[in-house]
Amino acid sequence: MTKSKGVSSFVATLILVSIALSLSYLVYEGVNTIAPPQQEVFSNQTVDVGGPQNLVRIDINSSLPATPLALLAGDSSSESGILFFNGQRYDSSQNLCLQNATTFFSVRTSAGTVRVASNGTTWIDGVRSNSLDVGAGWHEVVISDSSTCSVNLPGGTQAVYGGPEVRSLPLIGNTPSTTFETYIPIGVSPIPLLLAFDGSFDRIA
Amino acid sequence: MGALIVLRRRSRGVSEVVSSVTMLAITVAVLGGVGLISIGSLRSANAVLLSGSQNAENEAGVLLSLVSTQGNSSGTYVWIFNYGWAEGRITSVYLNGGIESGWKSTCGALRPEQLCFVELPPATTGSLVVEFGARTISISL
Repeated sequence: MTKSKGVSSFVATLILVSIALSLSYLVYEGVNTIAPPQQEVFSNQTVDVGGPQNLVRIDINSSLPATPLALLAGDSSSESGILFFNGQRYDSSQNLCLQNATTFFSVRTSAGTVRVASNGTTWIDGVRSNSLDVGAGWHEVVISDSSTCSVNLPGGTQAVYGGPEVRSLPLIGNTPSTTFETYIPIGVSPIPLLLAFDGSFDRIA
Repeated sequence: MGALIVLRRRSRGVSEVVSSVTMLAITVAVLGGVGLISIGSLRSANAVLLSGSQNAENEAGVLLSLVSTQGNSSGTYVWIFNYGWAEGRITSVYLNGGIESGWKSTCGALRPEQLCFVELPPATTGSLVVEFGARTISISL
């Protein structure tokens, strides 16, 4: 009699455990489908800032701190080199500036003045100027229609492709973050732009 | 002997209750943990979507019209009228595709059916973009 009661208690506990686990699994699956944990939601705002190179400013908001890894512009990727736009399509090169094209990338600086010497048009963080006082962090440089150029950072360092202070991903600000800003030259016909993050992506144009 | 039997029965009863309560506690803890993670994710996603929809609302409600442009020795003036139903604030001014810093404005907040001007340095020329949040107006000077 005592043995029978012991077995029934064991079976009852097992049933309770299985019911609890099943309920937990059902609830987890349901909630996970509605809102997967650690899944970013992005909101973008694009502003056409005009000008001869037809730049657009794209503001990106992420629901969770994220680290952008690469910008995919048409068939080109910032992973392949410095992105440029020649009015028709995007491509990449290992030069910071090109004749008849607009290159865009970012540089990491300490606080001070960024100076760009070129025979074309230059933007630093969206300001059309050859020099700009900036804070510490990543800053975007856009150089248009320039056969020769040099980018000098605070402290006298010269930025070169492949160096630690140059990133082919054109973004302003520090990472990981929930807000990002970038200036990108665009053409008349739309070309898809996609920002790849660690674990997700955002179609920004 | 009788007291021992009573004690053994009481002990078994308590252990069943304890095991059930433990199972309940584990279930509540698991569900609570999952719920907290998901609610956090939902809240941050909701904040981003809310800001996106507010931008869209702002874009829809701020309707801008260029009234006139004037230029003299003291400056270049651009008059803008808001014929929408939402208030707009100038967030940036771009001249020839670059951020312009040397501008002043009478419109801290441009209310519906109100007029304001943006003042730029004398003899400013080129393509001007005035940004009111998500809404922009492009002017050729």
